[in-house]
Amino acid sequence: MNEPHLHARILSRPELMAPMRAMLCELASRVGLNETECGHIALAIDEALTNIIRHGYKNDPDSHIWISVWELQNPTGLRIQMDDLAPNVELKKLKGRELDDIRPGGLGVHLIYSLMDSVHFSRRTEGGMRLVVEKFHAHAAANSYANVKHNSQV
Amino acid sequence: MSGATELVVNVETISDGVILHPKGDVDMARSPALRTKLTEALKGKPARLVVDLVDVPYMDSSGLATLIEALQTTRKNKIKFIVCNLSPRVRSILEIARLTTVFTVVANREQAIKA
Repeated sequence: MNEPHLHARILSRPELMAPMRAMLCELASRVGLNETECGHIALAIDEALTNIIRHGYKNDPDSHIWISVWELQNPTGLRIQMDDLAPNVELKKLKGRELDDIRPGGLGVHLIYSLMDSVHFSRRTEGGMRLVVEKFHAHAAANSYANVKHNSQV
Repeated sequence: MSGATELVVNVETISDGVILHPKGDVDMARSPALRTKLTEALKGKPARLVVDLVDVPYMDSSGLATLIEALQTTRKNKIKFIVCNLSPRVRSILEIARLTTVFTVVANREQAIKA
């Protein structure tokens, strides 16, 4: 994979979530994603960071989270990768809960899957977890799909 | 680095209850302040508890969890719990979490007081 357009390391502190949201929203806007799509990225990243801080690092404020961002073309979008060194969790547990079960908590993973176009959790060989998410501009994704469809018909 | 700016939550007493008016993003860093104010308000066993979200441009699942906790307490204690003035972004997260029909959601504070 190419060098990321942005690579940052942050401490596992809730107060850093708002600036990360703002920065990723700004990046998304610059690559052509609309306001709704930027909002979806901000919320998904917020939920991912919340899960890492709360469940991965058990609210330890001095652990590390690495965030890498790639601008995507054809279709236009962003790929965001978040790495941590938290103890591994069972991958099958990383799915949203049933929404009919009305209770606090457990919504974060559901929101990530709902808001992003692709979501992939994995274990890192060096320890910790990796989450890679992608969000595409709706029109670009539609055009890309149309092109693929057109080509396949030729 | 200093901590996040604390969420300001104005509390207003009405004839049959309380209106909470948080101002700012409600995320993991700030939802504890809203939870504290909701808990304080619920201790007084009001007949009606309104959360006016007119000045909340952003909310994540921590904020939703805080509202769900309050909802569960109000149901146990037969308190009317109403949220109003949702921004499109906050409404969107409630819709994705399929909570718009679980909460009593109204357009504005006037309707919340009468609901």
